[in-house]
Amino acid sequence: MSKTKAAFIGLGNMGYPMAGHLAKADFDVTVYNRTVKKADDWVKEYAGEHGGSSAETPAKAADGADIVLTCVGNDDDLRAIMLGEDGVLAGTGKGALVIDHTTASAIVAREIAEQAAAKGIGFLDAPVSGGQEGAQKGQLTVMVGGSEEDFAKGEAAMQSFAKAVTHMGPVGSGQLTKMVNQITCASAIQALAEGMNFAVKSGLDAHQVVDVISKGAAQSWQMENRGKTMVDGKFDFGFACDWMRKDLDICLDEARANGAQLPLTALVESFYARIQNQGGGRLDNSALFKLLNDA
Amino acid sequence: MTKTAFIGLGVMGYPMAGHLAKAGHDVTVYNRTAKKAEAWAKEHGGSHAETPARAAAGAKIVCACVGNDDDLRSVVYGDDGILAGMDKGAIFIDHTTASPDVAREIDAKARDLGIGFLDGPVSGGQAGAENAALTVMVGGEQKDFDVVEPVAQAYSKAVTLMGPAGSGQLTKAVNQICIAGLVQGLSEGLAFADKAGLDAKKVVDVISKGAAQSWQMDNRAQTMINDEFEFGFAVEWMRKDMGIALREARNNGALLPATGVVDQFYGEVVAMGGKRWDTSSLIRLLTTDGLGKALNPVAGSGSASARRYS
Repeated sequence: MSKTKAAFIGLGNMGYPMAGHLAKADFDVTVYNRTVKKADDWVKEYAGEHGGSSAETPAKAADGADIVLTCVGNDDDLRAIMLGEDGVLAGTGKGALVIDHTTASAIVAREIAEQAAAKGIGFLDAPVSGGQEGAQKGQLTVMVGGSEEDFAKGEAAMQSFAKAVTHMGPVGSGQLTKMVNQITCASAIQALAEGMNFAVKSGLDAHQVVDVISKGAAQSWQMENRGKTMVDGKFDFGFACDWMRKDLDICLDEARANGAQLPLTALVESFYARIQNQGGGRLDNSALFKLLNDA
Repeated sequence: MTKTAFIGLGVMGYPMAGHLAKAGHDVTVYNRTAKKAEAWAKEHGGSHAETPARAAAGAKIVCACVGNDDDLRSVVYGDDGILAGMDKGAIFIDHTTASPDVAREIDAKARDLGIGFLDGPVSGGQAGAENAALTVMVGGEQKDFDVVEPVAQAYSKAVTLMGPAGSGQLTKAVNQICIAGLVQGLSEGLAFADKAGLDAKKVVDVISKGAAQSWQMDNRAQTMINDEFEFGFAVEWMRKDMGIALREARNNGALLPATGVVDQFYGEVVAMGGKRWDTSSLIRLLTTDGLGKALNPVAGSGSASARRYS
């Protein structure tokens, strides 16, 4: 049986292990990365056992692939690898499918879907949650926007690195779902930070407070996974404030267009901006606590 | 069997006192509206008294659960108050969600009289009280805690000593702070999902498996989507609790920017006539008429992208 030919563009913290899972799941993977060394490392790690190669441009990586997956930084990075002579869309064959795992705007998802459609190429916007750990363990949650037909075509590839792959609606719906996720997380983290800082300032044992209140209506993933680390001042892990702010900016832009009001999200976004200005952009997004505790 | 008194038979106190009686304790109750106390005594076979002082007389442990700081002072102080009736060496545990200040104040007065005091606000709501599944956060001295803890287990799933007097109230304040901002975030997320044309229920199914998960998402997202608010924990109680947290923060120097904003939003919900609605009704400020029924969708509603490319 011949392997399905796939390309993976963007071997960052997320893309590198995702492409690895794809190779392990018996896809014939060609990778591209802006920094060539990463692509070489990937080939060295996976090609011996599972096959695979690297290409010099996104277009060359995509050439002949049935499915092209991408995972880069933001809207601009995405346009840079998708469009132009060396871009994914220039190399992808008619009838093939492009799946983008970048957390980007719904606007760029629509834009690329339209350009892909003009060339007879399918497109899915498929941002993920679960972080670097989820990518490494193949336990990501994938939120997908696009046609039923394209979803059916791309589902198996996405399953190779996911615990759940859900079709949310037409193109853009994956990005919009990820936005709801980030909106909900932002306020939960801020509320947790305020609670933990209040506990510290009150002279309570904040770890014990987490143990007690996480059994009830105040419980959240953030409380269970970040409550104690923020109190202990551990921020050198997890999901960076830089990325969180980027994601919230996408949410606020979209909300301005669709009429949704995000008063608390906007406030928290400004706190992330302050953390960045203080040089904390690489810290985990639970560093909202630091802003309160240092004050 | 321990001789106990229970003061305040509201939606929380009534079943809590009932669990004490069922656990075999000798319970005397007092309630401001005597009819409630009579009904309780008939149902549970205990006795009722005409004043807090009389209920407390001879009891080894006295429990109270009333509405707020003022209600608490009115049942604790004065000739008819709890402290006037209690024996030296007995212990008073207050389950009201009240200020740390009133807890410290009562603690000082009780100790002058040789009476032990614990502040023990609860979480778990009416359902938790009825099912004996409350979480009790306790402030006070270890020796008093050790006496009361086995008795309070009658209505609790967890009873934890958090520190000196006031620590129970402070812990409850942390609980409410964590909830307020989180519920606002959930409201903004669901309202955004709706405005974006997503199936909000499906979004919740997907994102509740990850970092956005919360008790509120698991237990309130669906009712928020259904525009159901006639149940749960009332906005007016939440505002009372947030007032306590915000006042205490002014003293201890903790910044509560999101909590402060959400407190104002709850004020708006009250102004809309929603003081009895569940705390999840914050979403009403963002959707006016429930999800999928926005009164004033922006021109050409839908996502930015849909508008741009339609």
